[in-house]
Amino acid sequence: MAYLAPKDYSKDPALLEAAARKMAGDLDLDWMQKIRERAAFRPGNPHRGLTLADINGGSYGPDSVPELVRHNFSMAPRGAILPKGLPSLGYTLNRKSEVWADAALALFEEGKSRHWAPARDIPWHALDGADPASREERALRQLCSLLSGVGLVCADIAARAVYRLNIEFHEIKYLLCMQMLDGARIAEATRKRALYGAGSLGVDSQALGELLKMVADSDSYPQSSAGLNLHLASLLQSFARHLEWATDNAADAMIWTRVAQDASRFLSYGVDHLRTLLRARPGEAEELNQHLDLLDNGLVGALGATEVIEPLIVLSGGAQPVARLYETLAAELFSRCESAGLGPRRARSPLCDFLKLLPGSS
Amino acid sequence: MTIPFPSLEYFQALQQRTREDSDIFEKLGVCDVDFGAKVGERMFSVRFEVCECVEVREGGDPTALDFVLAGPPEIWREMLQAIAQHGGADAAHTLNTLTHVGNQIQVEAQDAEGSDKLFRYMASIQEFFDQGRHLEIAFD
Amino acid sequence: MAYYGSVEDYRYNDDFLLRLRDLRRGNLDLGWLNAGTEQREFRAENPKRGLTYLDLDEGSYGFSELDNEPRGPRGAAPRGAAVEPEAQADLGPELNHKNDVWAYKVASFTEEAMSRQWDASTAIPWQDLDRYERPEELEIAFAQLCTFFTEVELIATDLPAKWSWRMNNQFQEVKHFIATQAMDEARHAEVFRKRALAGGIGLMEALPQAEHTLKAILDCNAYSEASAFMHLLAEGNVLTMFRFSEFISPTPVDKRIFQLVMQDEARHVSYGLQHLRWVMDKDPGRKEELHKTLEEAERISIGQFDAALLECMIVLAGKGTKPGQIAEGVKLVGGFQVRQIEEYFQRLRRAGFEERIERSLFRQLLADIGHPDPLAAA
Repeated sequence: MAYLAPKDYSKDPALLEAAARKMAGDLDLDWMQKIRERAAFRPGNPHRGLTLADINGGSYGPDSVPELVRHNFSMAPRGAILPKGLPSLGYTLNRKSEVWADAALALFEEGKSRHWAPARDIPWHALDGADPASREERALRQLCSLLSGVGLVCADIAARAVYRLNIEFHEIKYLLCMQMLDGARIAEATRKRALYGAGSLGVDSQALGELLKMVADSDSYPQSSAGLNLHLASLLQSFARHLEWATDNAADAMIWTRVAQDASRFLSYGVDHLRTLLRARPGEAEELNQHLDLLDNGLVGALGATEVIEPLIVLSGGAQPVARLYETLAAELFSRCESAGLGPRRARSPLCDFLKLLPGSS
Repeated sequence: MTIPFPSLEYFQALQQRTREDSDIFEKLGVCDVDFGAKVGERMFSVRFEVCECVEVREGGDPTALDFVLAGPPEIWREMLQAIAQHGGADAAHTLNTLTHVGNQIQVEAQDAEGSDKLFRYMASIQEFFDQGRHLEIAFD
Repeated sequence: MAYYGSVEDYRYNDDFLLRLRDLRRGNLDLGWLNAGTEQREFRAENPKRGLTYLDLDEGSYGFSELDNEPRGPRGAAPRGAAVEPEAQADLGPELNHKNDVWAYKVASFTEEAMSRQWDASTAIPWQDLDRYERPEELEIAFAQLCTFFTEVELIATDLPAKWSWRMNNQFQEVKHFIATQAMDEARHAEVFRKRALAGGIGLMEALPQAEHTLKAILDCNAYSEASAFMHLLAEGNVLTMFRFSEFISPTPVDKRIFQLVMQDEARHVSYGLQHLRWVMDKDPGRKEELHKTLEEAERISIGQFDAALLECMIVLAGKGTKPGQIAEGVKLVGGFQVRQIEEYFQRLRRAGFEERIERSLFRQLLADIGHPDPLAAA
């Protein structure tokens, strides 16, 4: 154990004496005077319940948090009185514009209210008519195997930031915890889909794995956020929408609708987060763009990998719908980047050249 | 229809309520537990599977159950009357309150894993007894 | 970015371009169709329960047959997929032994957690707070208690997050459980913050000693150490506190909060118990290391004496600050403290680590307050 108590409390007579005094009924009660800012917030809309936005009045709200947090490195909640002696928990994300997004509050509320559990919410029996030996079914199982890995790594990337994030940004911490759950659920749902019936998993993809590793090993949180919430979430959302389009059964329709829905929350946070960052520090746009150039190259590798593109072609009944899928994915990714304040990326991204090489490209 | 308490009919009526109000139990989530309710000397066993109460019976082996809620008839009666009066347990008569300090109802379990199931499924088990608000009960 | 991939620019990569050329000609490779993975029949054993992780526990896809040392896979691929160890993107997992992370029943806990999620915004009847008379001094005490819970709950988001990404993807069920725990605890911090800010008092003072306990948990050297400290001891203590807080809650609204958080906390404690039990069964050589961890954890817990926390519980339990009320509060809180230790000992017994009780620093503490020796009682 790395942390040692500053003294052996079990042999500290002063401590035991103080506790005994309290337990004899000798209370100070001075803490009862320590009321800093009274609050009695109520739901703005009873149908939504008491939301994070409802309770962010006065100094309890995020507007009270400075750009550089220098006053609190403990787990004391924002707005509490901070006495002397609070330890540092070692946070390394202490700059507001580096993590913040106003949209996070509503996205967290939305995610809770739209929770689903694959075990019981998916009508698995609707898959009973599928022919497990058909090429289409095997193609879907291959894609599910890959997306299961994507889900797991998405959860990991969010987890890497959770414990480094200063408590003053608790709404972002909450949202990242939800991203952990969302990622794990995508992994669960796609794994279960691949195995249901006479199922099996497919092959790993080195190219996709390299893209995931590039995002996971990002140098900074904004880079990691761009990779997770723009690139990987765009891929997840586009694939899920495409697979929903390609299906003819209720179970797949529900899985892919839900996955697209969850991925969309990542996207909303990512766009708003980068927009907030670049408004505060526009000089970081070029560095982020260079990072995205590298990720786009990784994305090209993943999208063009045999074990990714071929099952899509099989499921789509030809190459043309896959070309449309990739074109849409790229267009939406560029649009999100532009909306986030990164400027036009089409001209510099290797994705555009890649799209021209695709069979059936327009 | 008046249902006597304690009786198997009472627990069967609660079981029926879990089916009629299944939405509430579905929303609370999966609840896999075998527990006992001991009213004085009479013991009833309740089995929940997934989100539904699948079995109630009189008797049962306490060592085969996750835990047993054991209390004198007058405490059970007080709890059930509070549920009827308030449409659900009031602050003084929730299962946790009755089992926590003073042990008006005892939680008897073979081990920590069993008793922890009461806490893991507290909201479902509370709702099970709160369904008594729909019943007209006659006490022995 | 610290990792740039193995291909500098796919647009100029011959292999890549050749593959695309083949695709344009309509020639599919289809090598992925011959994954060589197992094909098995999987169905939901109980349709009402749906398709659970337990239903998938077969062969190379299952967790029961998963070796303690699953050699080879170190990347994103899920368990059972075809992986070429020399051609995978190595994510660098640090926890690669099943015994480091696994727990009996973890797949069930994960399914349960997914099924029993709730929403702090809508599951609590916040509007009803106004229906109940809440004396100022009790509301102040409750605000202090909620400040404490808001403060401590996030350790159980940060600690699991710190370790989960280091776990090999072969342990999917554990990683998923940990993700549910992170979400549960975020929700707990959320609900207590909301309660403090809805009650009329607001957040009060943070508690330094409690924070030192959190730091000690976060700084544990190994996951099993951290789990024993956090899941079993600290969350066990908090579970007993939740039960006590439900008991002393001033309104039914507050009782509802504690009923819901209690469920989640009990699940986390159960995971910790079952992980410790797994380690005791499969890797008993680690006992001494866990003794040392829990000894320091117990020492730090004894030092977690924040006057405001103890006093606010006494005020709430006695329902006021008059001498008679304080006397009643002290009596109830004294019983609660003993129960915290008793329940910790019960869990150690169930985990197969009964010998910890003999060495526990809490025994002396119980003796100091005149409580019978739990070993003698057992």
